Amino acid sequence: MATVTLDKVSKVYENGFHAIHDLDLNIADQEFLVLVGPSGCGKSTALRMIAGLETISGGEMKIGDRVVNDVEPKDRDIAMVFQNYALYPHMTVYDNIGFALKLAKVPKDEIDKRVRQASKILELDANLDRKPGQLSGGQRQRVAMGRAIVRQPAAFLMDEPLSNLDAKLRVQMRAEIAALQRELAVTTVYVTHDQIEAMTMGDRVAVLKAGYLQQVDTPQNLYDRPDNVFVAAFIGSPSMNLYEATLDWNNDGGTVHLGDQDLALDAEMLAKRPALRNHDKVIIGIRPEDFEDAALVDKDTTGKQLRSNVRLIEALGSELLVHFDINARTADSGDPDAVDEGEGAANAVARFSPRSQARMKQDITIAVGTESMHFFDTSTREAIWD
Amino acid sequence: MKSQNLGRQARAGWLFTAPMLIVLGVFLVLPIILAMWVSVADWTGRGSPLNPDVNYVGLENYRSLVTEPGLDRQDFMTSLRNTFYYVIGVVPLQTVIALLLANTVNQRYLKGRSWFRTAFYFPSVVSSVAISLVFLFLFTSTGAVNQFLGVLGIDGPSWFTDPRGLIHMIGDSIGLWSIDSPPNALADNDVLGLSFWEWFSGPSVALTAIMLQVVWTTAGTFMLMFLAALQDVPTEVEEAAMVDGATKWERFRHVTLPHLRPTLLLVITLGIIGTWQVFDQMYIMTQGGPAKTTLTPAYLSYSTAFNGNNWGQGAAIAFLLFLLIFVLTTMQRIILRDRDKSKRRTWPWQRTQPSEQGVTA
Amino acid sequence: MTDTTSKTVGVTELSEADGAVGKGSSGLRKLLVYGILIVFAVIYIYPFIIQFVTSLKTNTDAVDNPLRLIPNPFDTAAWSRLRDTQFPRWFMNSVIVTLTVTTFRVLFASMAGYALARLKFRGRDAVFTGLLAVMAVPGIVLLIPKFLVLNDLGIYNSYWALILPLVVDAAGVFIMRQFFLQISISVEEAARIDGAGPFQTFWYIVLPMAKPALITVTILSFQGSWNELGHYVIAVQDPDLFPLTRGVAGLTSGQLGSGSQFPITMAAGLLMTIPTAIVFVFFQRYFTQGANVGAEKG
Repeated sequence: MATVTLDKVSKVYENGFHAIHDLDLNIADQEFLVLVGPSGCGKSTALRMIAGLETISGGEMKIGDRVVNDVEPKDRDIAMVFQNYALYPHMTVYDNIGFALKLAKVPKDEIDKRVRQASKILELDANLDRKPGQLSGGQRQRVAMGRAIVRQPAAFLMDEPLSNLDAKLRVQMRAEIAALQRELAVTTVYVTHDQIEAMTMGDRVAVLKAGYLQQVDTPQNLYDRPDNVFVAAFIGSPSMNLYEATLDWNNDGGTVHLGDQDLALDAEMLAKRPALRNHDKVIIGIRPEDFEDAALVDKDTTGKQLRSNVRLIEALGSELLVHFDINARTADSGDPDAVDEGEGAANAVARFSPRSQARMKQDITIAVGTESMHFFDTSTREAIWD
Repeated sequence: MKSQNLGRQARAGWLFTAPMLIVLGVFLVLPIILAMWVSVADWTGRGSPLNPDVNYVGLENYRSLVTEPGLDRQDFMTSLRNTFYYVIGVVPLQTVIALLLANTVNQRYLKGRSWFRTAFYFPSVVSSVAISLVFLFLFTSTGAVNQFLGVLGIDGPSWFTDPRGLIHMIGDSIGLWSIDSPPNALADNDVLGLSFWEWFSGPSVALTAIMLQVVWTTAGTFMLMFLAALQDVPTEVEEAAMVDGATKWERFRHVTLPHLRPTLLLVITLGIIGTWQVFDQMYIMTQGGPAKTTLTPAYLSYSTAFNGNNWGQGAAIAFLLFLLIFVLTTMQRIILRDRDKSKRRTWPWQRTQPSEQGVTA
Repeated sequence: MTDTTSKTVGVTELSEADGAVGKGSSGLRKLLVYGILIVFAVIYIYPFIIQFVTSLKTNTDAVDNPLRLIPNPFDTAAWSRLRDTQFPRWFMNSVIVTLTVTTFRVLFASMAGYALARLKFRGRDAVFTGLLAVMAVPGIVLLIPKFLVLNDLGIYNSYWALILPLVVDAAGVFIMRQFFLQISISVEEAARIDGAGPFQTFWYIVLPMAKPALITVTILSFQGSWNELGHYVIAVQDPDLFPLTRGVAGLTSGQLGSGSQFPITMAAGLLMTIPTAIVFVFFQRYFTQGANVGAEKG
């Protein structure tokens, strides 16, 4: 059991590419930390540096109290699960799981005990004599897990371990891995590009972009209080709607000018964000669920409404995703993986109650929950609070 | 910062490559260097070529092969002539036969495809010695080949002892000249030690028999290369061409052949490299005869050194042969690279539909 | 051919091919294809049949009736006489040389191939470039140079001379390297995390995974060293040291007594073909792969 500490760790490749910039992370004992970010953000590199598969160009890496910068992977007391599982194709499941123990010269009966224990936990008992080629994708995933847990390491490192599974199995294994980690209480660093995996599995989530750490926090805090435009857009699906807007102030509160429409801001909401007074141009962010069909809202939403025309409706049963246009400039999220929907696409998505009567090509009035609106600085792109 | 692991990997790396480096160094690099020295020295095979009695003679050995009139130059030029005819006979023939066999064996409806493939490929894996022995027997003057020709009413030659050139014989039979008294204009003028009459002899009957044997042996290897390439012709592209209205021949010409192009080039390159090195058959069957018409640079190099004890000249021939092969393959590579750049083809049935050209890629 | 003509021709012929005419001509085509194949099959197989049959004839019968497929009289003298020659000795020499060469070639090629594909060390690229250069040197021009070195090292005319220069083959190294490059590197990383050093990774993980490539290299080495002639010509001169190819090649110049002894040469050729044929039948797939490795490096 151990903490994992990264202190200003950086990675520069031989060709000069700077993959990680001064990364600080303090992973607590028994914590499940997820590294998430778009492709090329450095999350896998960071994990491989913890594992010892990549050299560390600068900074200090500790596992427990020991500095491990120059320690061989096998001596770091970690186990890793690879994206493609990296099972030894010519060995049986039993030998795959026991290989590390065999190399460590653990006595045979001890190996046997531990392999059987691990395979029991993972329900692999019946397959111990098979080779990886004879197993299903889910079973291979379990063997990879078995290989990790049999070593009883101080930390598990997992590199997108679910990305090769089909959607249904992924959901199931997601729950199993999370449960197993809690049961074994082993510090775990988990890399994924899937923000749903990140949100559902992690005690805390670290968001990376282009080698820089953006924010580390609990999933709910990341969602509710993103530190910057990138995190705001990256966490949540559908993404937060982001626009450039201007602000006006008066005694009762303020007004957001969003294109040719206005939204009123309450005084109490402004009180929570005193720094907002210093801005007249901002990027505003509205989560899809903070839009609602005005016809379904009981309280008075006057002044907090937008008018538009419905472009497209996706009925998901429990909710409606309503696409419409807001006559305002959208703000770039900075996510290289973001799908460019092209010129003709609508620039706003709302999550409506299924009771909404909205129809394609009809005009609608949308109530905006301005009290949960997000504000970001246009130049630093950081959240504006106090 | 220095990682412990990188040090281990470096040590393992050198350890793992050490046997290769030592063996290739001692039996490949070192020999080449030693042979370079011998080719410019007067070593006669006694003692070590590095002993102090051996003298540096400059390019003498090369000069006597290329510029100085004499028997040495005449033999070397004869060997080049023979191999030239050998190459321009064998390479096209084995390529065409290999392509024909591959295309035939690749027919989808064919029964026993793998059986035919095995039969055609088998000679490629058999020792050249075993095959040469069989062909010596087949091509004797009363042998199987001549008996078969006799059935067709043809009087076969005594193959391996017949030095007459094919071009000479053809000219003779159509009345262009008499093979016994060649026209003076050709016989009296010479270049590099051989008369025009000798240069333009064509391959001798004996060399032709060897050429037939080699084509028979190696076509199977090249057939396999073509087969592998044919099997990767994407069926979608072929079907698209069919839908576009291409006939079977057009499909072969514009879909299959362009796809085979890299393989075709490789087969021709390997063919040229291989044929210029021909040695085994001369060593086993003819020792350069009859009348030196199966002499090749590789065999001449060997016999000059081992039988004639003229090691300097033997080594010089080897280097000249190396140079020749190097120049030929480099030239071919340059020519083909240029052509690859200039050729961006579209298929004839597509030219009217510019929007569909994505398919050609 | 101009655009318009090819276009119209294409259309009409396609419609024909789809109709009844197409079916009739495709029957004719099949006949043609089978015709070609059978002619070639005869050309390719008949020599081997003649070889076998002739080995069971008397020399007179062989010379007088080279095409006849039934020996008259039936005579196994050629085969029994082979036993009295040095043939058995040559056969043993070939077996010794081939087995030794193949064992070391496979070992050294896989080691070097792995190092060049995976191990990071300064100078690796230079070594690989050197290897490619070496592969481009035509083997035949090395005959005299190799003799010179064997002679200078004092191992000319010995088993060492037969074996040592052949134990590394650049093409084999190249094949192994290409194979190792295409297996997933994360398996080796997993082994590293599991505690395996470079040598353990190579021995326990990488080598077992490389089975297909190992078989290919084994077969190419076997075939190459069994059939090699040039090197054996320059490496030894003592008939007791001759491998089969060198020894049997001498049969043509009448080492077995007066004149041509066709049944004996046929029997000798056949016997030396049998090991290759057996390996070929069982591992045909790998021969094919080996042949096509050439295609990839081009």
